[in-house]
Amino acid sequence: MQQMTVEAVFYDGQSAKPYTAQVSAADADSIWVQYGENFALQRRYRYQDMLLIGALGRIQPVIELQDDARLEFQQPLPDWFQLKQKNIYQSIWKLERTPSLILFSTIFIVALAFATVKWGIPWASHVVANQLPETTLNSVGNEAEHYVLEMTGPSRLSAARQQAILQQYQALVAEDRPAKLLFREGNRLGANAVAIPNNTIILTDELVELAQDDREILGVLAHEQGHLVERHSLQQALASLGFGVILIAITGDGSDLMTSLPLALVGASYSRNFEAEADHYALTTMQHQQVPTIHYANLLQRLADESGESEQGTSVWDFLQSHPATQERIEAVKAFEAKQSAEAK
Amino acid sequence: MQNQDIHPTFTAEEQTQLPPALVVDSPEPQLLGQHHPFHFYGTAMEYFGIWIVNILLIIVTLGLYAPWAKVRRLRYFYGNTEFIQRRFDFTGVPSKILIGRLIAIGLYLAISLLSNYSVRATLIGVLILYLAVPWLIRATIRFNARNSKFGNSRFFFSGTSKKAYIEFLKGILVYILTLGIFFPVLIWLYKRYCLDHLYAGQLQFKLQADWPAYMRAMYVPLFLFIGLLGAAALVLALLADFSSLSAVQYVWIFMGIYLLAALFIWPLMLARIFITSWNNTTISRSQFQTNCNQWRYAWIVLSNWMVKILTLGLMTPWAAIRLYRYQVESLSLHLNNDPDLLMNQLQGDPSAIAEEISDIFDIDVSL
Repeated sequence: MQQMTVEAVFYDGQSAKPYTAQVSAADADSIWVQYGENFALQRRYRYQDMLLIGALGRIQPVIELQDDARLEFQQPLPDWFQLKQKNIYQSIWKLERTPSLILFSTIFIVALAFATVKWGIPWASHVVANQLPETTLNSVGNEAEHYVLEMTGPSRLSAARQQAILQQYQALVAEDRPAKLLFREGNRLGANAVAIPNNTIILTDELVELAQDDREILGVLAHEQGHLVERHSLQQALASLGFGVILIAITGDGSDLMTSLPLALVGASYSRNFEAEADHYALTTMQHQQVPTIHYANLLQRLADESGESEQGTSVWDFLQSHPATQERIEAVKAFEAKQSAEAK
Repeated sequence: MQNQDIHPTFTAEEQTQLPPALVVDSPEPQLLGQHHPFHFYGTAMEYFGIWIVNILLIIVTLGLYAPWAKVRRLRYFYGNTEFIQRRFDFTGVPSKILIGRLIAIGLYLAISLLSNYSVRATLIGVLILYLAVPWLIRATIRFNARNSKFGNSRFFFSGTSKKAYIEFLKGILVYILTLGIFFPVLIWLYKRYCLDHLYAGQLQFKLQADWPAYMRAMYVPLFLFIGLLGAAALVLALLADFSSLSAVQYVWIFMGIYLLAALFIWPLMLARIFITSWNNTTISRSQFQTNCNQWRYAWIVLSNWMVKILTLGLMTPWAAIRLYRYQVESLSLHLNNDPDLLMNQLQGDPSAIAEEISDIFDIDVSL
């Protein structure tokens, strides 16, 4: 049996002192640990009472024993060692040291991370958002509406003017899912329109006044309708929820500044996609109702002039903004027009 | 062949008959009364493999492997840390951590879903979470301590939840009453709570530093920063008489100095907190010491950030090993307690151990 003996460091569970020990098989169910001077002391342990902590890098396997004793091996567990979990730990240890697997993991994880952020989460939140009932965000929407109403004042537009816009909206934009349309004096909001996920669109007096043609207002309403129809708020909420779960699952920690910074950037880029999507919805609707899309571009241009955004305003900071630069959006409108007229020919 | 029993009753007999000879030849008398350094044997290459393969396993198992990965990562650092030829180890059971994680994710989902329905319910959820913070911190420290070993000696944390809430309240009061100026006192309160209730075996840690030390640790970098900016402004103003740089260029140079110096403030504070803490920590009669250089430490922290950002996180293992190695290898302990006489706490009371282990609230939530 001598060849079956392996050396290990042994802590007996009473003293904190490490002993050199010899470990050998006793029978099919247990082992002998011999330690002390001339290995005169010995203990017998059954496999079923052992807790194996597998090898890790150059750290060799450790076994914690029921009487608070501990065995630290100096080499991999010998073949005769009958502990059941031995093989699982051994294969994990091997996997962690296999260069080809390390290389594969690296490439796979980088590709997966990229694909998840770029397509996976937007796709998943899109699918889930469309599965959920339309009223999912109603209560949040109601509270948001309340805040917007507090921030703004009662509209100064005449009832006739409001009625005219409402009728155009219902005739040309609303289709079969009309939203509640509210007119408010924007105050701090300025010339603006807001889509709230309880199926409400709020339009400010300032925007109505800024428009030189009612068809421009229609474009804006169609844009907000696009946000509602595509359920962008819900998608946004789901996407951030998904990110949170993934982050906590991997790191067990969502509070790190360094991880939340890139997250904010990703969130901003999603909003940009939503804006582009809503623009596209507006243009398609206008096209469909035979309203010239140039009106939408005109209003965007006037909004940009109003807010002092200049022609050279595009820079790296655009990446950080939640709305695409207005110039970029105007270009997109023109490209849409060109494409449609090319198709019409 | 007398020890057929697993829990033998041989202790007293054996110890009186033959004082167990040490075979890992540790020359006992020389150990005491001397400085002994800590060593670290981990390498970035080896750790990278472990790190990335474990992430792959997490993905393949849809996240269920995460606690096992966490324990392996922690063990890599503990197990490669050595003091007087004994290694540290982390013996946490991953399945218990998994339960903790599931509870945490459940809470997170519940609050996220609530936020879809009502802002008020969300606020209440968040408030409850904040109220639970001291309790969570205490549970986590306790879990980590109990599962940390030096040789075969367990660490033990005796801090109570009540004490955690008292310290938390003190911190909030100090913060509010001084308008945040005494923020370092909060760090001192936290470090003191962690250390003063921590035991290795039966030996108690103690933080000897008082709160002004932490005020110095954090405000010196800030004053240095302000002083540096003043000096830079002065030098630039003097230079303006001799050179032909435009005003805009001066502003750019000044902004550059400002940004670089501002980036150094927080790493430098971290370095000084580390140094202050370890140069003032004792365990029983033995004194810790660090020969850590604050500038070197701050540079490591700052360059780690940059490398992590530039490599989109792929160099995280390298950065972690680099900082940990510097921290550990700067440490030494002036040993005045016999490390062979360490006794595990609660050892004489197995029911207490059992109670602790079965307590599902003693979880690790990794704050």
